[in-house]
Amino acid sequence: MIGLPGLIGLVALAVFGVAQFFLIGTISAGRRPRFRPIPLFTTLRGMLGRSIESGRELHVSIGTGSIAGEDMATTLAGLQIVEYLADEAAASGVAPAITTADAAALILAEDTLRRPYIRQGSLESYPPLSARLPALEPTQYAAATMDYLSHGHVLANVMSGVFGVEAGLMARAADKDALPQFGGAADPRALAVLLPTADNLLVGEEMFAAKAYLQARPPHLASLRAQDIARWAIVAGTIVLFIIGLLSQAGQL
Amino acid sequence: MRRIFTSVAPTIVTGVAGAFVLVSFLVPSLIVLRAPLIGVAAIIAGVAVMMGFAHLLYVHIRRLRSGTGAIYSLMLILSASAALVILLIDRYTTQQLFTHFIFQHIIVSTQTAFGALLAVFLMLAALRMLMRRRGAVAAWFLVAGLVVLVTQVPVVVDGPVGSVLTAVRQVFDAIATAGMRGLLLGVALGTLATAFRVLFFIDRPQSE
Repeated sequence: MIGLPGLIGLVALAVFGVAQFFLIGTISAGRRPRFRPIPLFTTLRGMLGRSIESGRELHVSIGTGSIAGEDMATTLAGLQIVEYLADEAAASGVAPAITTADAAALILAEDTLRRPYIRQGSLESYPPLSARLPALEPTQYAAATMDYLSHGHVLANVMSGVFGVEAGLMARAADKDALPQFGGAADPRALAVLLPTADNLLVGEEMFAAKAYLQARPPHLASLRAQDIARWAIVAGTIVLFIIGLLSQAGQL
Repeated sequence: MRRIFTSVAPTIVTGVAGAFVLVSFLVPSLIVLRAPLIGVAAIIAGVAVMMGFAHLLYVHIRRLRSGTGAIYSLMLILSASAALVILLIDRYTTQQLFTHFIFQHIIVSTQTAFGALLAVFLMLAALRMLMRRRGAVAAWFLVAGLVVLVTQVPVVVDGPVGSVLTAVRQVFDAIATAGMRGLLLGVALGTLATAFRVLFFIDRPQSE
Protein backbone atom coordinates (compact mmCIF):
# COMPACT_ATOMS: atom_id res chain seq x y z
CA MET A 1 0.00 0.00 0.00
CA ILE A 2 1.19 3.53 -0.74
CA GLY A 3 2.48 5.36 2.36
CA LEU A 4 2.18 9.06 3.23
CA PRO A 5 5.67 10.00 1.89
CA GLY A 6 4.87 8.12 -1.32
CA LEU A 7 1.54 9.91 -1.64
CA ILE A 8 3.17 13.32 -1.12
CA GLY A 9 5.82 12.41 -3.71
CA LEU A 10 3.16 11.30 -6.19
CA VAL A 11 1.15 14.50 -5.72
CA ALA A 12 4.30 16.65 -6.09
CA LEU A 13 5.24 14.78 -9.27
CA ALA A 14 1.71 15.12 -10.66
CA VAL A 15 1.60 18.88 -9.93
CA PHE A 16 5.06 19.32 -11.47
CA GLY A 17 4.00 17.31 -14.53
CA VAL A 18 0.75 19.21 -15.04
CA ALA A 19 2.60 22.55 -14.68
CA GLN A 20 5.22 21.43 -17.17
CA PHE A 21 2.72 20.28 -19.83
CA PHE A 22 0.65 23.45 -19.33
CA LEU A 23 3.79 25.56 -19.79
CA ILE A 24 4.81 23.61 -22.91
CA GLY A 25 1.42 24.57 -24.36
CA THR A 26 1.78 28.26 -23.50
CA ILE A 27 5.36 28.50 -24.73
CA SER A 28 4.55 26.66 -27.97
CA ALA A 29 1.73 29.18 -28.49
CA GLY A 30 4.37 31.92 -28.58
CA ARG A 31 4.65 33.17 -24.99
CA ARG A 32 8.35 32.49 -24.48
CA PRO A 33 9.67 33.20 -20.98
CA ARG A 34 12.74 35.33 -20.38
CA PHE A 35 15.52 34.05 -18.16
CA ARG A 36 18.50 35.86 -16.65
CA PRO A 37 21.67 35.53 -18.78
CA ILE A 38 24.19 32.87 -17.74
CA PRO A 39 27.60 33.95 -19.12
CA LEU A 40 28.93 30.39 -19.53
CA PHE A 41 26.28 29.45 -22.08
CA THR A 42 26.88 32.66 -24.03
CA THR A 43 30.63 31.97 -24.13
CA LEU A 44 30.10 28.34 -25.11
CA ARG A 45 28.37 29.41 -28.33
CA GLY A 46 31.01 29.60 -31.01
CA MET A 47 33.63 27.91 -28.85
CA LEU A 48 33.93 25.08 -31.38
CA GLY A 49 34.44 27.69 -34.11
CA ARG A 50 37.37 29.09 -32.15
CA SER A 51 38.65 25.54 -31.75
CA ILE A 52 38.67 25.13 -35.56
CA GLU A 53 40.39 28.48 -36.07
CA SER A 54 43.10 27.78 -33.52
CA GLY A 55 43.56 24.11 -34.41
CA ARG A 56 43.29 23.18 -30.76
CA GLU A 57 40.84 20.85 -29.00
CA LEU A 58 37.98 21.86 -26.77
CA HIS A 59 38.05 19.61 -23.72
CA VAL A 60 34.73 18.76 -22.10
CA SER A 61 34.71 16.66 -18.95
CA ILE A 62 31.38 15.17 -17.92
CA GLY A 63 32.85 14.11 -14.60
CA THR A 64 33.20 10.92 -12.67
CA GLY A 65 29.54 10.06 -12.16
CA SER A 66 27.66 7.11 -13.53
CA ILE A 67 24.39 7.10 -15.44
CA ALA A 68 22.98 4.66 -12.91
CA GLY A 69 22.04 5.73 -9.40
CA GLU A 70 21.93 9.13 -7.78
CA ASP A 71 24.48 10.72 -10.16
CA MET A 72 22.32 10.05 -13.22
CA ALA A 73 20.69 13.47 -13.55
CA THR A 74 23.93 15.39 -12.95
CA THR A 75 25.79 13.30 -15.54
CA LEU A 76 22.94 13.84 -18.01
CA ALA A 77 23.16 17.58 -17.27
CA GLY A 78 26.84 17.45 -18.27
CA LEU A 79 25.89 15.54 -21.41
CA GLN A 80 23.49 18.33 -22.41
CA ILE A 81 26.53 20.48 -23.18
CA VAL A 82 28.03 17.60 -25.19
CA GLU A 83 24.75 17.28 -27.11
CA TYR A 84 24.84 20.95 -28.06
CA LEU A 85 28.50 20.77 -29.11
CA ALA A 86 27.88 17.52 -31.03
CA ASP A 87 25.47 19.29 -33.39
CA GLU A 88 28.08 21.98 -34.06
CA ALA A 89 30.77 19.31 -34.41
CA ALA A 90 28.85 17.37 -37.05
CA ALA A 91 28.32 20.59 -39.01
CA SER A 92 31.95 21.72 -38.78
CA GLY A 93 33.73 18.38 -38.83
CA VAL A 94 35.77 19.07 -35.67
CA ALA A 95 34.63 17.30 -32.52
CA PRO A 96 35.45 18.26 -28.93
CA ALA A 97 37.38 15.84 -26.71
CA ILE A 98 34.99 14.38 -24.15
CA THR A 99 36.36 12.65 -21.07
CA THR A 100 34.69 10.75 -18.22
CA ALA A 101 35.67 8.28 -15.51
CA ASP A 102 32.64 6.04 -15.97
CA ALA A 103 32.51 3.37 -18.64
CA ALA A 104 28.72 3.50 -19.13
CA ALA A 105 28.80 7.32 -19.35
CA LEU A 106 31.55 6.92 -21.98
CA ILE A 107 29.24 4.85 -24.17
CA LEU A 108 26.47 7.41 -23.80
CA ALA A 109 28.85 10.31 -24.53
CA GLU A 110 30.14 8.54 -27.62
CA ASP A 111 26.60 7.90 -28.79
CA THR A 112 25.62 11.53 -28.15
CA LEU A 113 28.55 12.75 -30.24
CA ARG A 114 27.88 10.22 -33.02
CA ARG A 115 24.14 10.85 -33.41
CA PRO A 116 24.29 14.18 -35.30
CA TYR A 117 26.74 12.61 -37.77
CA ILE A 118 24.18 9.83 -38.43
CA ARG A 119 21.37 12.38 -38.84
CA GLN A 120 23.43 14.30 -41.38
CA GLY A 121 24.49 11.11 -43.19
CA SER A 122 28.18 11.77 -42.59
CA LEU A 123 29.09 9.00 -40.17
CA GLU A 124 32.38 8.43 -41.98
CA SER A 125 33.52 11.89 -40.75
CA TYR A 126 32.93 10.96 -37.10
CA PRO A 127 36.25 10.92 -35.18
CA PRO A 128 35.91 7.65 -33.21
CA LEU A 129 38.21 8.56 -30.29
CA SER A 130 36.56 11.85 -29.38
CA ALA A 131 35.02 10.35 -26.25
CA ARG A 132 37.70 9.04 -23.91
CA LEU A 133 37.98 7.15 -20.66
CA PRO A 134 41.33 8.13 -19.15
CA ALA A 135 40.74 6.20 -15.90
CA LEU A 136 37.99 4.55 -13.90
CA GLU A 137 38.56 6.18 -10.53
CA PRO A 138 38.15 9.91 -9.69
CA THR A 139 41.71 10.70 -8.52
CA GLN A 140 43.32 8.67 -11.30
CA TYR A 141 40.98 10.32 -13.77
CA ALA A 142 42.07 13.73 -12.46
CA ALA A 143 45.74 12.77 -12.85
CA ALA A 144 45.24 11.52 -16.42
CA THR A 145 43.22 14.60 -17.37
CA MET A 146 45.90 16.87 -15.85
CA ASP A 147 48.41 15.24 -18.17
CA TYR A 148 46.11 15.74 -21.17
CA LEU A 149 45.46 19.39 -20.27
CA SER A 150 49.19 20.06 -19.85
CA HIS A 151 50.46 18.25 -22.94
CA GLY A 152 47.53 18.19 -25.36
CA HIS A 153 46.73 21.08 -27.66
CA VAL A 154 43.76 22.32 -25.66
CA LEU A 155 41.86 25.54 -26.34
CA ALA A 156 39.61 25.58 -23.27
CA ASN A 157 38.61 23.36 -20.39
CA VAL A 158 34.90 22.75 -19.75
CA MET A 159 33.97 20.65 -16.70
CA SER A 160 30.29 19.99 -16.09
CA GLY A 161 29.05 16.92 -14.30
CA VAL A 162 29.71 14.95 -11.14
CA PHE A 163 32.94 16.04 -9.44
CA GLY A 164 34.44 15.92 -5.99
CA VAL A 165 37.47 17.79 -4.70
CA GLU A 166 39.62 16.16 -7.41
CA ALA A 167 38.17 18.77 -9.79
CA GLY A 168 40.65 21.19 -8.17
CA LEU A 169 43.56 19.16 -9.55
CA MET A 170 42.28 19.35 -13.13
CA ALA A 171 41.42 23.01 -12.73
CA ARG A 172 44.95 23.69 -11.50
CA ALA A 173 46.48 22.01 -14.57
CA ALA A 174 44.37 24.18 -16.88
CA ASP A 175 45.05 27.29 -14.78
CA LYS A 176 48.80 26.71 -15.01
CA ASP A 177 48.60 27.06 -18.80
CA ALA A 178 46.13 29.97 -18.51
CA LEU A 179 43.42 28.05 -20.40
CA PRO A 180 39.91 29.52 -20.27
CA GLN A 181 37.93 27.43 -17.80
CA PHE A 182 34.24 26.78 -17.45
CA GLY A 183 32.96 24.66 -14.61
CA GLY A 184 29.70 23.28 -13.35
CA ALA A 185 29.00 21.00 -10.42
CA ALA A 186 26.30 20.04 -7.96
CA ASP A 187 28.65 19.12 -5.11
CA PRO A 188 29.50 22.13 -2.88
CA ARG A 189 33.04 20.79 -2.35
CA ALA A 190 33.69 20.74 -6.09
CA LEU A 191 32.21 24.23 -6.46
CA ALA A 192 34.50 25.50 -3.72
CA VAL A 193 37.63 24.21 -5.43
CA LEU A 194 36.50 25.31 -8.90
CA LEU A 195 35.63 28.87 -7.90
CA PRO A 196 39.20 30.27 -7.77
CA THR A 197 40.13 29.02 -11.24
CA ALA A 198 36.95 29.00 -13.32
CA ASP A 199 36.21 31.99 -15.55
CA ASN A 200 32.54 31.03 -15.46
CA LEU A 201 30.87 28.66 -13.06
CA LEU A 202 27.52 26.87 -13.20
CA VAL A 203 26.33 26.58 -9.61
CA GLY A 204 24.03 23.64 -8.83
CA GLU A 205 20.71 24.11 -10.58
CA GLU A 206 22.26 26.19 -13.41
CA MET A 207 23.84 23.01 -14.75
CA PHE A 208 20.41 21.55 -15.45
CA ALA A 209 19.42 24.60 -17.51
CA ALA A 210 21.91 23.88 -20.31
CA LYS A 211 19.34 22.66 -22.83
CA ALA A 212 16.94 25.52 -22.17
CA TYR A 213 19.70 28.08 -22.74
CA LEU A 214 21.57 26.39 -25.58
CA GLN A 215 18.73 24.86 -27.60
CA ALA A 216 15.73 26.88 -26.30
CA ARG A 217 13.07 24.34 -27.32
CA PRO A 218 9.60 24.74 -25.71
CA PRO A 219 9.80 21.55 -23.54
CA HIS A 220 13.11 22.65 -22.03
CA LEU A 221 12.02 26.23 -21.48
CA ALA A 222 8.85 24.88 -19.85
CA SER A 223 10.92 22.56 -17.66
CA LEU A 224 13.07 25.45 -16.46
CA ARG A 225 10.04 27.65 -15.79
CA ALA A 226 8.36 24.79 -13.87
CA GLN A 227 11.50 24.47 -11.71
CA ASP A 228 11.37 28.21 -10.97
CA ILE A 229 7.70 27.98 -9.96
CA ALA A 230 8.38 24.93 -7.76
CA ARG A 231 11.31 26.72 -6.12
CA TRP A 232 9.22 29.78 -5.26
CA ALA A 233 6.45 27.52 -3.93
CA ILE A 234 8.97 25.73 -1.67
CA VAL A 235 10.48 29.03 -0.48
CA ALA A 236 7.00 30.44 0.27
CA GLY A 237 6.04 27.19 2.08
CA THR A 238 9.23 27.31 4.16
CA ILE A 239 8.60 30.93 5.19
CA VAL A 240 4.94 30.21 6.06
CA LEU A 241 5.93 27.14 8.14
CA PHE A 242 8.65 29.18 9.86
CA ILE A 243 6.15 31.91 10.80
CA ILE A 244 3.60 29.34 12.01
CA GLY A 245 6.31 27.69 14.13
CA LEU A 246 7.35 31.06 15.53
CA LEU A 247 3.76 32.04 16.35
CA SER A 248 2.99 28.71 17.99
CA GLN A 249 6.14 29.03 20.12
CA ALA A 250 5.14 32.57 21.08
CA GLY A 251 1.67 31.27 22.05
CA GLN A 252 3.21 28.67 24.36
CA LEU A 253 5.30 31.26 26.24
CA MET B 1 13.46 -1.49 -39.17
CA ARG B 2 16.70 0.15 -38.02
CA ARG B 3 14.71 2.91 -36.31
CA ILE B 4 12.91 0.32 -34.15
CA PHE B 5 16.22 -0.76 -32.63
CA THR B 6 17.87 2.66 -32.41
CA SER B 7 14.93 4.83 -31.38
CA VAL B 8 11.62 3.14 -30.53
CA ALA B 9 12.85 0.16 -28.48
CA PRO B 10 15.33 2.13 -26.28
CA THR B 11 12.67 4.74 -25.57
CA ILE B 12 10.06 2.15 -24.55
CA VAL B 13 12.55 0.16 -22.44
CA THR B 14 13.69 3.33 -20.64
CA GLY B 15 10.12 4.49 -20.02
CA VAL B 16 8.95 1.12 -18.69
CA ALA B 17 12.05 0.62 -16.50
CA GLY B 18 11.79 4.18 -15.18
CA ALA B 19 8.08 3.76 -14.40
CA PHE B 20 8.77 0.47 -12.53
CA VAL B 21 11.51 2.08 -10.42
CA LEU B 22 9.38 5.15 -9.69
CA VAL B 23 6.40 3.03 -8.62
CA SER B 24 8.63 0.85 -6.44
CA PHE B 25 9.83 3.97 -4.59
CA LEU B 26 6.30 5.27 -4.06
CA VAL B 27 4.81 1.90 -3.05
CA PRO B 28 7.38 0.12 -0.84
CA SER B 29 5.64 -3.28 -1.20
CA LEU B 30 6.55 -3.28 -4.91
CA ILE B 31 10.28 -3.14 -4.16
CA VAL B 32 10.64 -6.64 -5.68
CA LEU B 33 10.12 -5.03 -9.11
CA ARG B 34 13.40 -3.18 -8.69
CA ALA B 35 15.64 -6.20 -7.99
CA PRO B 36 15.72 -7.68 -11.54
CA LEU B 37 16.36 -4.23 -13.01
CA ILE B 38 19.31 -3.71 -10.65
CA GLY B 39 20.68 -7.09 -11.82
CA VAL B 40 20.39 -6.02 -15.48
CA ALA B 41 22.02 -2.64 -14.68
CA ALA B 42 24.92 -4.40 -12.90
CA ILE B 43 25.54 -6.67 -15.93
CA ILE B 44 25.46 -3.68 -18.32
CA ALA B 45 27.83 -1.74 -16.04
CA GLY B 46 30.21 -4.75 -15.98
CA VAL B 47 30.19 -5.03 -19.78
CA ALA B 48 30.72 -1.26 -20.02
CA VAL B 49 33.81 -1.50 -17.79
CA MET B 50 35.23 -4.26 -20.01
CA MET B 51 34.58 -2.14 -23.10
CA GLY B 52 36.10 0.89 -21.35
CA PHE B 53 39.23 -1.09 -20.48
CA ALA B 54 39.57 -2.25 -24.09
CA HIS B 55 39.02 1.34 -25.26
CA LEU B 56 41.75 2.61 -22.93
CA LEU B 57 44.23 0.01 -24.21
CA TYR B 58 43.29 0.76 -27.83
CA VAL B 59 43.88 4.53 -27.35
CA HIS B 60 47.29 3.95 -25.81
CA ILE B 61 48.33 1.36 -28.40
CA ARG B 62 47.56 4.00 -31.04
CA ARG B 63 49.60 6.57 -29.11
CA LEU B 64 52.44 4.06 -28.85
CA ARG B 65 52.40 3.59 -32.63
CA SER B 66 52.26 7.32 -33.32
CA GLY B 67 55.11 7.99 -30.89
CA THR B 68 53.41 10.80 -28.91
CA GLY B 69 53.98 10.19 -25.21
CA ALA B 70 54.99 6.64 -26.09
CA ILE B 71 56.82 5.94 -22.84
CA TYR B 72 53.78 6.87 -20.72
CA SER B 73 51.47 4.83 -22.92
CA LEU B 74 53.78 1.84 -22.72
CA MET B 75 53.87 2.10 -18.93
CA LEU B 76 50.09 2.35 -18.81
CA ILE B 77 49.56 -0.68 -21.06
CA LEU B 78 52.04 -2.78 -19.06
CA SER B 79 50.69 -1.77 -15.64
CA ALA B 80 47.04 -2.13 -16.68
CA SER B 81 47.68 -5.56 -18.19
CA ALA B 82 49.70 -6.68 -15.16
CA ALA B 83 47.00 -5.48 -12.76
CA LEU B 84 44.31 -7.29 -14.77
CA VAL B 85 46.26 -10.57 -14.79
CA ILE B 86 47.12 -10.32 -11.08
CA LEU B 87 43.55 -9.50 -10.06
CA LEU B 88 42.18 -12.36 -12.20
CA ILE B 89 44.61 -14.86 -10.68
CA ASP B 90 43.92 -13.50 -7.20
CA ARG B 91 40.22 -14.25 -7.53
CA TYR B 92 41.09 -17.96 -7.17
CA THR B 93 43.10 -17.48 -3.98
CA THR B 94 41.48 -17.43 -0.55
CA GLN B 95 43.09 -14.32 0.98
CA GLN B 96 43.45 -12.21 -2.17
CA LEU B 97 46.79 -10.87 -0.96
CA PHE B 98 47.86 -9.32 -4.26
CA THR B 99 44.60 -7.39 -4.57
CA HIS B 100 45.04 -5.99 -1.05
CA PHE B 101 48.68 -5.19 -1.79
CA ILE B 102 47.85 -3.31 -5.00
CA PHE B 103 45.09 -1.30 -3.34
CA GLN B 104 46.84 -0.56 -0.05
CA HIS B 105 50.37 0.10 -1.24
CA ILE B 106 49.94 1.47 -4.73
CA ILE B 107 46.47 2.92 -5.35
CA VAL B 108 45.61 4.27 -1.89
CA SER B 109 49.08 5.68 -1.20
CA THR B 110 49.26 7.36 -4.62
CA GLN B 111 45.80 8.85 -4.15
CA THR B 112 46.66 10.12 -0.67
CA ALA B 113 49.83 11.79 -1.91
CA PHE B 114 47.94 13.31 -4.79
CA GLY B 115 45.12 14.48 -2.53
CA ALA B 116 47.65 16.20 -0.27
CA LEU B 117 48.75 18.32 -3.23
CA LEU B 118 45.23 19.67 -3.54
CA ALA B 119 45.60 22.01 -0.56
CA VAL B 120 48.73 23.56 -2.11
CA PHE B 121 47.09 23.83 -5.55
CA LEU B 122 44.02 25.43 -4.05
CA MET B 123 46.06 28.02 -2.17
CA LEU B 124 47.98 28.88 -5.36
CA ALA B 125 44.74 29.11 -7.33
CA ALA B 126 43.21 31.41 -4.71
CA LEU B 127 46.28 33.67 -4.81
CA ARG B 128 46.15 33.81 -8.61
CA MET B 129 42.45 34.65 -8.46
CA LEU B 130 43.09 37.51 -6.04
CA MET B 131 45.78 38.90 -8.34
CA ARG B 132 43.84 38.50 -11.60
CA ARG B 133 40.22 39.16 -10.65
CA ARG B 134 39.92 41.88 -8.03
CA GLY B 135 36.14 41.95 -7.92
CA ALA B 136 33.35 41.28 -5.47
CA VAL B 137 33.65 37.49 -5.85
CA ALA B 138 37.37 37.55 -5.04
CA ALA B 139 36.78 39.81 -2.03
CA TRP B 140 33.97 37.56 -0.73
CA PHE B 141 36.14 34.47 -1.27
CA LEU B 142 38.97 36.08 0.72
CA VAL B 143 36.69 37.17 3.58
CA ALA B 144 34.98 33.75 3.75
CA GLY B 145 38.34 31.96 3.68
CA LEU B 146 39.76 34.11 6.48
CA VAL B 147 36.66 33.76 8.66
CA VAL B 148 36.65 29.97 8.23
CA LEU B 149 40.37 29.84 9.06
CA VAL B 150 39.98 31.96 12.18
CA THR B 151 36.80 30.36 13.52
CA GLN B 152 37.32 26.71 12.61
CA VAL B 153 40.88 26.29 13.90
CA PRO B 154 40.56 23.83 16.82
CA VAL B 155 42.07 26.10 19.46
CA VAL B 156 40.21 26.68 22.73
CA VAL B 157 40.08 30.40 23.54
CA ASP B 158 38.46 31.48 26.80
CA GLY B 159 37.08 34.85 27.84
CA PRO B 160 35.49 37.54 25.66
CA VAL B 161 37.58 36.62 22.57
CA GLY B 162 36.32 33.05 22.79
CA SER B 163 32.69 34.23 23.05
CA VAL B 164 33.11 36.46 19.98
CA LEU B 165 34.69 33.61 18.01
CA THR B 166 31.84 31.26 18.97
CA ALA B 167 29.23 33.86 17.95
CA VAL B 168 30.95 34.50 14.58
CA ARG B 169 31.24 30.75 14.02
CA GLN B 170 27.53 30.27 14.70
CA VAL B 171 26.59 33.07 12.31
CA PHE B 172 28.79 31.65 9.53
CA ASP B 173 27.56 28.10 10.21
CA ALA B 174 23.98 29.35 9.77
CA ILE B 175 24.88 31.15 6.52
CA ALA B 176 26.76 28.10 5.21
CA THR B 177 23.89 25.73 6.10
CA ALA B 178 21.33 28.02 4.47
CA GLY B 179 23.46 28.32 1.34
CA MET B 180 23.98 24.56 1.22
CA ARG B 181 20.24 23.90 1.56
CA GLY B 182 19.47 26.40 -1.20
CA LEU B 183 22.01 24.73 -3.46
CA LEU B 184 20.67 21.24 -2.72
CA LEU B 185 17.10 22.41 -3.31
CA GLY B 186 18.06 23.68 -6.77
CA VAL B 187 19.91 20.44 -7.56
CA ALA B 188 16.93 18.35 -6.37
CA LEU B 189 14.55 20.32 -8.59
CA GLY B 190 16.95 20.01 -11.53
CA THR B 191 17.17 16.26 -10.93
CA LEU B 192 13.37 16.01 -10.77
CA ALA B 193 12.97 17.97 -14.01
CA THR B 194 15.61 15.87 -15.81
CA ALA B 195 14.06 12.60 -14.61
CA PHE B 196 10.62 13.83 -15.61
CA ARG B 197 11.79 14.69 -19.14
CA VAL B 198 13.40 11.25 -19.54
CA LEU B 199 10.36 9.41 -18.14
CA PHE B 200 7.96 11.24 -20.45
CA PHE B 201 10.16 10.86 -23.55
CA ILE B 202 10.82 14.61 -23.85
CA ASP B 203 14.57 13.92 -23.58
CA ARG B 204 15.87 10.74 -25.16
CA PRO B 205 19.58 10.62 -24.38
CA GLN B 206 19.65 6.90 -25.14
CA SER B 207 18.12 6.88 -28.62
CA GLU B 208 18.39 8.57 -32.01
